[in-house]
Amino acid sequence: MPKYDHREEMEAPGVFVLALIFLAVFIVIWFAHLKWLSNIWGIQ
Amino acid sequence: MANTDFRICSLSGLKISRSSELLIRWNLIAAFATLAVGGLMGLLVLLTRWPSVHLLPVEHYYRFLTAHGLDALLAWIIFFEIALVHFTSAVLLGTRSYVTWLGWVAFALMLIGGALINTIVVLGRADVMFTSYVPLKADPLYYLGVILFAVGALIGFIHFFINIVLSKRDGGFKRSLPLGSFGLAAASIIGILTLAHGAAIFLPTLLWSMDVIPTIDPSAYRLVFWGLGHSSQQINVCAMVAVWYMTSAFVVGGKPVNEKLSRTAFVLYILFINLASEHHLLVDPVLSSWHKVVNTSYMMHLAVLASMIHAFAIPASMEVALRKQGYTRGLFEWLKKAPWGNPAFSGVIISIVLFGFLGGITGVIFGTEQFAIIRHNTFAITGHFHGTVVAGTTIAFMAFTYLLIPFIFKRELIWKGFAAIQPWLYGAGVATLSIGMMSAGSFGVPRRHYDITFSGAPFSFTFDPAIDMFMSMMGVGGVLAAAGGLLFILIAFGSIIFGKKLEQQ
Amino acid sequence: MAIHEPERIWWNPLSKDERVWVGVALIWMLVSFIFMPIYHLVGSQNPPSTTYSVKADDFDKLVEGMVSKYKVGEENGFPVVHPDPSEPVFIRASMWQWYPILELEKGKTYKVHLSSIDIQHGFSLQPINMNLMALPGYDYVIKLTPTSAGEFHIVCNEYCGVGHHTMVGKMYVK
Repeated sequence: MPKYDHREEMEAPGVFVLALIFLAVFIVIWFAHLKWLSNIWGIQ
Repeated sequence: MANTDFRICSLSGLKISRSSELLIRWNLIAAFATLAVGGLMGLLVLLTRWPSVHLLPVEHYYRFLTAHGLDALLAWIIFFEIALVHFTSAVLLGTRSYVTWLGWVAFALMLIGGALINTIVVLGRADVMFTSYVPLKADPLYYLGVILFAVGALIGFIHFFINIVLSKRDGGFKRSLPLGSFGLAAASIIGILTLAHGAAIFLPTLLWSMDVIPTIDPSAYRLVFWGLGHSSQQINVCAMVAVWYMTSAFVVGGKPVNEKLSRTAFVLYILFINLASEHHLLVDPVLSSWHKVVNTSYMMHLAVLASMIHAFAIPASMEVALRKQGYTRGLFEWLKKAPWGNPAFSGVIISIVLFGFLGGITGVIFGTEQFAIIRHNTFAITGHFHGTVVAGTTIAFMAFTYLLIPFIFKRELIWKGFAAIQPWLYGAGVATLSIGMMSAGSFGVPRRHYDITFSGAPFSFTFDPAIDMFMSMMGVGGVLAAAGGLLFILIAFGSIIFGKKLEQQ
Repeated sequence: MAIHEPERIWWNPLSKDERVWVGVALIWMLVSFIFMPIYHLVGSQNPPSTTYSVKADDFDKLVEGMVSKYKVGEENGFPVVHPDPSEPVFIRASMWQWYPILELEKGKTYKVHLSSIDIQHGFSLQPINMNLMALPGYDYVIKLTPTSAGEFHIVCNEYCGVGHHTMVGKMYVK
């Protein structure tokens, strides 16, 4: 069995930061759509 | 097997057989040709939808829009993918393409089908759009063309599995496929499922158009059609992601940071992505809410998770590789010192960023059951899929072309300076077009619509004046993209014909 | 590398940034999934799913029945109808018109029956921007509660032939 080392350091810190920015933009746009949706007429 | 059939590419170290080389070359040439036709149709459609130009008369608009969808979405992308099938199942493994006659049968069927579709559409006998929703009826030859093309593509994807099985026998790989081939394996599995849906819907529709079957249920048609129509976009996602990984490896020597993670993500695609086809039916009658929620969410969005894993893992592989080359200062020195002048590299980065921010985010949001009420069939949808299949897949394939021309055609690129700016020009154009479309769509502007001033309608209606700006954005972006697309076509064909020959043994 | 066969052991543990990213991405995906069933319980804008199968002739009779009972005026040859909120309301799509013109009351909930009598059409209420499909053979029942008054238009946003762009209807809310 090879020895598994739990790698505690980051391999790609730059991309990690960019990815978090992406997620933040995603969440903001998602909530903007929720706001738009809640402004239309009632429909069930 | 004669050893002389192979050559070693001095640029990439790939062992390339003559049989694969010819199949890849001709599939690529067909891909570039259909992209040229599809792009030209796209420009004409764009200049009609741009209210201040409004170029074409109404029948021609819908006719060219139908052709644009079929050439740019179906033909260009699938021809390129069949080239990738041979590249990843033979060239990457250092073995040949087996049963080459089958590859040529697939190619011929796709070519005949594509030509038949285009002829019938341009003759005006199939003004039914890409979706050909029943009971809108086209000439039976149109459906026959789609079936021929789909059967050709099906054979092409089956060819992948024939190649890898025989390649393993001949020692092409021992245990696991390279990740690029693994991605195309996922694409081919999804491809076969997808094209089976195509047969399931287009065969009865062909019979119906010949009056053999009396009716086709419009709701059932939509369900099965999108098993073809959207799932085929998932072939594109898989192939595009495989191209991202391979370009990272070829250009900066990027190694997947964790093979386990990347491969698991491809498996998530195979398992869940086909369900997503139903997000086209969110505001349809017939289906229940639970059914819609489960299916359209890609089963808890696990397929989206896969995309988010790839979108992290691929740039991460580049960062790790560039850091190993010594660019370790701060968070982003590697990014500044990356080979931005190489169109294969810049193209893939542009593709990843635009696919994520434009196509990906909006895809998840518009595919959410409730949000579909405010976005279904609006121009925002058109903006979304130009963010995925154009800004994502097409740019990735263009970027990969800049590698394939020296590897496969043994030619140097012509116009290297223009090639270096081409992904930027095309990417900026498509991004502007896509954002313009999405913004106009959020004000309710419909997709596939000849005249949003509604001339000749019984009641006059005017959209919010803000859309004028967004429609102009779309127009300007589209013209930029058309210029970038033309540049790509010129560079691709120019290099194949006039590029300096690369000497290899 | 993605272009070579991986090493013998490639089933390795993830590094820290990968673990965190997969974790937050998975959480966000589950949130956006759970949102859908939850909004069915707490939200007032959800895609309807009540559907009946209906023949074009029968639907036509229902539309005409409502028009003759509740007609209050006429505009450009289209009847203006002011229906009772307790009774079903009908909107008929055909190449290339939305029929009739409805006059609804703000804050009241209506059961709107939407269907097409020929090919597929897209019901797009503007400038509210609400979009639903109208399919032939299917009666789509929508519980609609107008929350703003004024003059609205119905645009067709599913391609339905050369007259597609002239398919504009009207709706009033008082």
